[in-house]
This record gives sequence, C-alpha cells and structure tokens, in this order.
Amino acid sequence: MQIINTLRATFLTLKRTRALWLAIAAPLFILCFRTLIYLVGRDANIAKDAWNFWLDGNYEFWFGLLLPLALALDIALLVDIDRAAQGWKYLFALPVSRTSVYIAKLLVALVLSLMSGAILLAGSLVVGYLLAFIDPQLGFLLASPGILYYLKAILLETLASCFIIAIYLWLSMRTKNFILPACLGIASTVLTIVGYDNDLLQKFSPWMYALDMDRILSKLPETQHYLGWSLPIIFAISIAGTICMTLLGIIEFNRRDIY
Amino acid sequence: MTIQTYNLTKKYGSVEAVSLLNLTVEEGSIYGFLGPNGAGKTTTIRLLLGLLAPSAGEVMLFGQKLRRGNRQLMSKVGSLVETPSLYLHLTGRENLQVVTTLLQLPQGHIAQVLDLVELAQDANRKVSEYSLGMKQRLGIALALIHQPKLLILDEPTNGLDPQGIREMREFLRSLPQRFGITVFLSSHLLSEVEQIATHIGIINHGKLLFQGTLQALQDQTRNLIAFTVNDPQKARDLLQPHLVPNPDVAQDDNTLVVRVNSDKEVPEITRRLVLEHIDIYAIVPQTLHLEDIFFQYTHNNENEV
Repeated sequence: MQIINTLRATFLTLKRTRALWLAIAAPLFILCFRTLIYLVGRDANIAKDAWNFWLDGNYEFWFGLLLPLALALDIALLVDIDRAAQGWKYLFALPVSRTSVYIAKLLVALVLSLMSGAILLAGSLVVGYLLAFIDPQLGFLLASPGILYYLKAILLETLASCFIIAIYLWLSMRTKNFILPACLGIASTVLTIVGYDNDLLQKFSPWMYALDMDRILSKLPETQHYLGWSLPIIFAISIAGTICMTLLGIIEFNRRDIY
Repeated sequence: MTIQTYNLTKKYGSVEAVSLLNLTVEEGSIYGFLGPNGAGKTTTIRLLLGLLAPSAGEVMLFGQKLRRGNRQLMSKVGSLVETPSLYLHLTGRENLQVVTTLLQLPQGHIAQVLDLVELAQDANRKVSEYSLGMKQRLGIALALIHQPKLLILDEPTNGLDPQGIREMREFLRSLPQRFGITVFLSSHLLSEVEQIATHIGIINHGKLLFQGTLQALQDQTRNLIAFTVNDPQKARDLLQPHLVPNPDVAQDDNTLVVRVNSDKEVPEITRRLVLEHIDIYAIVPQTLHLEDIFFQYTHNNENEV
C-alpha cells in the first residue's frame, strides 16, 4: 500500500516539470525528424507495406538512437524534482520508507518511457494519415496499421530498456549534478550507433537491448546475428540486471545520510 | 520525555560536529536550542530526525530508540529543517496534496493547516510566486499536516521580516496549548527564543553548555556583585567558587564579578577580602541580561577551544 501511495505522490510532483515535457517532446522530435526524411526521400519510400515501413523506421530511430539519451536526461530531471525542492530532508523525516520512494521513482521512469513510446505510436499514426493525404501514392491508404503489434512492441522494448533505466536511476540518485547522467546518455547513444552492427555489443550492452528486441520483433533477417539470443533471453537479462541495479540502489539509498 | 539523547556524537572525519550530547526535552515544552552559527544545531536536528546516523550515542523519541525506517515513531514528528522543502512548480495546495497522498491522510487536513498558517487565500498560487514568509508558513503547514506530537524546527524565522517573526512566534507559542505539541526549535538569536521557550539548551562547538528552564537561565542574571580591588589576582583565588567568568559588566582588570545567593553573603565576602589585606575600592550590584549569559557560555567555550 505504501508503494502505491508513494507512486501516486511521485506522479503528483511530475506536474509542470521538465521531466514530463521531455518525455512528451522527445518522441515528437523523432517524428518531426523522420517526417522530414520521409518526405525528402518519398520516391524511395513508396512501399507495399507503407505502415510497417514507416512505423518500423520510427521505432528503430526511437529505441535505437534517441531512447538512451532521452532516458538519461529524463531520469536525471525526475530525480532533480526532489533535489531542487531539497525534498529528501523532509521526505525522510516522514513515516515513509526510502525503499518505496526509490521504487516509485523507478516505476515513474518506466511509465514515462512507456508514455513516450505511446506518444510515438499515436504521433506516427496521425502523421501517417497526414502523409496519405499529402501523397496517396505513398501507400498508407492501402492497408491498416497493425496497432496491436506496435503496442506490444512498445511494451516489450520498454521492458528491455528496464536495465538502463535502473542504471540511470542509480547514477542520478548518487550524483548531485546533471552533467554525469547527460554525458552517459550521449556516450550510450554513440555506443548504440557503434553497436548497430556489432554482435558483441548487441549481446552484452544493455543499451542495445531495446533495439535488439525491436529487431527480433520485426523478424529482420539480421536477427540471427545475435548468435541465437532470442526475445526471452534478452528479456531475462534485462529484468535480472534491473533487479540487481535496483537492489544496489535501494541499499545505498537506505544507508545514505541526508546533509 | 519527548526527546532524550544519550552521549549523542556525530563525527565528520576527525571533526566532532556534535559531541556527547545529552538532551532532555519534556512533553508540552517549547525547547529553544541556542548556539552561534556552526555550533552543531542543524547536525543535532538531523540526528534527531534520523537524517544522519550518529557516530555514537542514541536518540530516544517518545521513549523509543530512533531507528531509520521506524514509521510509527516518525508519524509523531513534524519537521522544518533550514529552508522549507517545497516543490516550487506546484501550488501550495498541491504541495500539501503530495503529502496527504503519500501518507494517506484525509484531504480535510489540507484546509485545516492552510487556515492555521493563514495561507488559504493563496493556496492555488504556484509556490514560486510566494514570498519568503509564505514559503516558511507553508513549510510549517507541511510539518503539521500529519498532526505530529513533536515539531522540530531549525531556524524557523530565518529570512522573515519583523512582522513575520512576530506572527511565527505567536503561532509557535500557541502550539503546546492548542494541540499538545512539543516544540523543539533552534536559533542563533537568544532574543527570539527567550520570548517563547520554556526550556533552553545552549550548544557551541558541538557541546551542550547549558540545559534547563528559562527561569534557571534567568536566575543566573541576578545576584551579581562587582568588587573593585587593588589585588585582583589574590581576590580571584580567594573568591573562586563565587566568580562569574568573563562577565561583560566587569569594567576593568581590577573588577571581579561574583554571584551570591543572598545579600547576606556580601558583607561576608567583604570581610574575607579585608582580612586578607585586599583593599576594596567599590562594591556595586550588577544586572546581567540574558544575552550576556548566552555570550558568556559561548564565549567561554570559544576560549576553551
């Protein structure tokens, strides 16, 4: 019950914050960027399955390129809400368990990530229909988008990102400045780009797991590149890593002196 | 006892911020915790709230040993440590809602505390638009919203204008009677604390130098006699038990200030000085202010350090 109350309270503090705005703005940025690219190269984009082509591309950009950076910044901003309010000294003098505060932050970060994914999907659908009106030859009116499949993809790819969410949260809770999480976010984006065709990174870098999941779900031919690492394995590693990082974070958080 | 500490100590590296502190705060009292800046007041308060783990010693609240995560115990404690912890992007009401949601309190508590701190009119404004005094009052509202039995406040009048200080003082003074709340408040201003506190603790360099009722502290301002003599060193040796160390009232090196229990002791002391062939130039009754006593405690401690 305590965790539910803490979660609700954490959601209340999100109102009018940069963390919330970033979670909305980041997928919209991807959409604008992708729409531009799509329109510029529209002749090459005429496809039989326009929706899959459009949505898969958007998802790959989001989960492969921007998500590691967006999550790093968003989680740093999320933790900063309490830090800026000097909230820890008040919060921890209340009858509230520190563990529930930590878990609530993790869950809110997860929900923000899911929300970004949902905004990306909703935005992609809206823009897809707009593109159909701009140029019917693009093929968006030939079939319906497989919304359920893409909803499932958001859920699974976000779960695959759990591990990096837990890493970012642990780091943001430990450091007082914004620079370190931001640097890690930028570095992880570079790592994801480097790892795009690198078997080793695809298997062992948690920053790649969302993209791996995306590829596995897309049943792309290069999926076999992962040396047999299938969806359940990535999922299991991500969840196990999340649990370990969260336990480490909770232990540290509970021991911490509040100056 | 509402608060008791036993040899409470907090070290930062080799520096003892708080040393062997034995505080005793009675239920229903207003305990003024006094000390200059850097004396160890805030560290003590953070130890009392479990925000810092002590290096040694222990804290007892309501007769129970304070341990991190003791939610039942902390539900009886409200606090305001230094500046209030407020979400500036939320309204005053929303700030309170965060806590009522967190602690599953009835929403009615919000209106009650807003009325109590006279912020009902401004409850729907963003806190970033509040004045310092309003933020401080909202901080008090946050400390009171779960109806604690003990209120721990660190420099609650910091940054307030004279009117704000006066209102805060009246408000805090009313808490024990109206709600049965014990108040523990720190300040570096004696003038502020002496107007509301029933009990006083004086701390400097992490050590508790005085603890007792305000009356006991005030008693130390009375029955002081200044003797101006020709041989102060000899007189000092003779009158050692009665001497008031470093009194501000001493005008020169030849003047010693002694504390007597009654006027009858004055001729006795005079006789002893005369029998030791010490010439007495003047015997003048003195009155110390509470501020002088506070200064003596903290000043003497400075010298010892």
